[in-house]
Amino acid sequence: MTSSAAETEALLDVRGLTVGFTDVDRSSVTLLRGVDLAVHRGEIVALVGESGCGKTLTTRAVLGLLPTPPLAVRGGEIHFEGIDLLAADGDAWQELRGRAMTLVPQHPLSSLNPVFTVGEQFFDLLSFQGQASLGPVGYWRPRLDRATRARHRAATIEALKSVSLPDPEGLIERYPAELSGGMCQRVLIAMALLSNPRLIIADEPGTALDVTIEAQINRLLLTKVREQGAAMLYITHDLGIARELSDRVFVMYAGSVVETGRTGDVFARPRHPYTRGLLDAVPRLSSAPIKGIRGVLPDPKTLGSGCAFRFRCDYAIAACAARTPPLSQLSGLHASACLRAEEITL
Amino acid sequence: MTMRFVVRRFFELAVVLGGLAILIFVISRVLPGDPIRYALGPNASPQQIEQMRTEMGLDESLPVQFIRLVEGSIAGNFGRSTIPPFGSVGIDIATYLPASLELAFFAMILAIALGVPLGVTAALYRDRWPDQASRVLAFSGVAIPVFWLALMIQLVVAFRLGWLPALGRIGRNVAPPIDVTGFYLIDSLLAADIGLFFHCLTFLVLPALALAASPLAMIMRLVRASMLEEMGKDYVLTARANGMPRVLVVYKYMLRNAFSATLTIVGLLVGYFVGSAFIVETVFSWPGLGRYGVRALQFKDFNAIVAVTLVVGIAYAAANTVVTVLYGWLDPRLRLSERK
Repeated sequence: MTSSAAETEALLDVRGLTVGFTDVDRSSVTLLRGVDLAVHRGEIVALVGESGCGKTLTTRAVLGLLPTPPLAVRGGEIHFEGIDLLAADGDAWQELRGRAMTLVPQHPLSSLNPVFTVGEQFFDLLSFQGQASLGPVGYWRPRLDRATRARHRAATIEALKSVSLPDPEGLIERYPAELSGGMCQRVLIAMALLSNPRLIIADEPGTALDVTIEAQINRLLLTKVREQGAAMLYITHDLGIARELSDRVFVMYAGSVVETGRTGDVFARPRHPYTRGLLDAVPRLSSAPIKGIRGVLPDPKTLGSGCAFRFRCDYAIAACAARTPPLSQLSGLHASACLRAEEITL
Repeated sequence: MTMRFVVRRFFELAVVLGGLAILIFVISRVLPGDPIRYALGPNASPQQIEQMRTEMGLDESLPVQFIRLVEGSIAGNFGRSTIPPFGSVGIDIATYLPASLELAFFAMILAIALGVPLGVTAALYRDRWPDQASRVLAFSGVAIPVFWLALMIQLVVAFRLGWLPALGRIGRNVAPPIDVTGFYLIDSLLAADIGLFFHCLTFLVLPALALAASPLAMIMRLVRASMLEEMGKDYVLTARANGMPRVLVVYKYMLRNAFSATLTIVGLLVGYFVGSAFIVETVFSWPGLGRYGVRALQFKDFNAIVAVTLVVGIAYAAANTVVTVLYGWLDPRLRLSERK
């Protein structure tokens, strides 16, 4: 899907990632069906698709935070800066999470611990981020040291200022329940960016917020990511935001990537019927009724082999049910997993 | 702000205790059977009965009697026992209460100190062997009646194996430590007598274990359930994604959230401890309020029954007040909502 030169540079490289679980009736259910995804240094990549298509699951797998059991990685590879993440142990993960890659979560209001002040959560992060183990002595040492406390306080205020939060001194004493969703998200962004990570995974960071606040948060994220020279994997179901923010885009459907390319190319000339459908489903302020895609996401249990979109596709032919079409390169970075990508005009 | 929260809780406590005093007064006055006839026996003369009635203040009007009871309760004066050796009930309570409190506190600490980590471990290893083992332990703890468990522990550990003493609170020929708190463990430490401390500890372990078994099981299951619930929360994922150590996330971030439910149980357990203490103290000849209460009930010792009921009620209400205050400390949202 990308040129070999670009592949060697990839910061995050996910190939054929397959994740599933064993149901109570012992049948195997596959949720991610061979996801291919790459993020390069300093690049902003959008991952779009409907709810339930596996976007969030992909980010969990990349962060090594899949709930296993019940979920299990069944196949594929995830490499981050050349490290094989599927083989990484706890210590290696502690080195990576928070420091090299981090998460800006989907639900800001519930993503801060409700029972500790903002200051305390920053203190823990500043003191213990990346540590593999921690005992009572290690826990109390920074708390009892006046100099450490002062240093952490200053760093916290600095971090809160950097995300344009007013009155950072007052904020340190506040509990999350006293903050608005937008403020919580700013705090979470400040936490995520604390150690200048190379990859920021933003999982629908504005979905739970008002539209105006969402725009502010996205602008802030973009500015900070550019400022720090980090890369960002931005998960969203909102194509407008994906188009505005990203350099490249991956479109996911039912657990696999169906189309990818430069954002401009994909949006101007989609090469997969699903992408076309998504674009047509975007509401516009002025014009006539929205088209939408008929049907609903298929049940992963009854999907079988073949293109997952065939049940809802206007272009489906008999061959579509025969085998799962691979993501094949069309031109440059543009690739589509449609058998008929070359013959149909969308 | 926090102060106001605490003050309000203690005001509520005062109201509850007022209600409790009225309740106990009414019950003790409408209870069938004349305590004085019980005390003096069938051969008492009318003069003797009249004299004792005056002595106990039962000839006064009911409102006056009630005020007497409240006054006496505050001053710790509950009148005289109606059974030999006719001592002051207040002094009896002061003698026996610390022994019961020591036993209950130690059992409570045992239940929490073992129950919480076991519950956390069970949650972390859900459906694997540590979880299964803790489940068996928990069901046994809840299912086995406390009188049987107490007897079995005494029979096996004390009599058969002879590892620990079976009866009493301290050795027959050992002088108790100088009375400061009434808790032998604390007093012996205050007297810097480590030998005596361990001596008293050997007497305390078995009854405390019998008393702690069921609460331990309940706490364990509750902590497990609450921890499992916390595991799926967003803040856990975010903390982990930010690189917080797992130990910190589990034992600080999750446990603090999971502990609220457990705290409720701890408050309610005071009632359980009182009920079971009557049994456990009898089995182990523990010189506590439970054993005193059993004797008072057997011989219809009127003043002692009123006093024991009142003390138990106060302990129950006080424990739940402490729990409510601790709630506020555990969960700032409660304090915050109070402010509005």
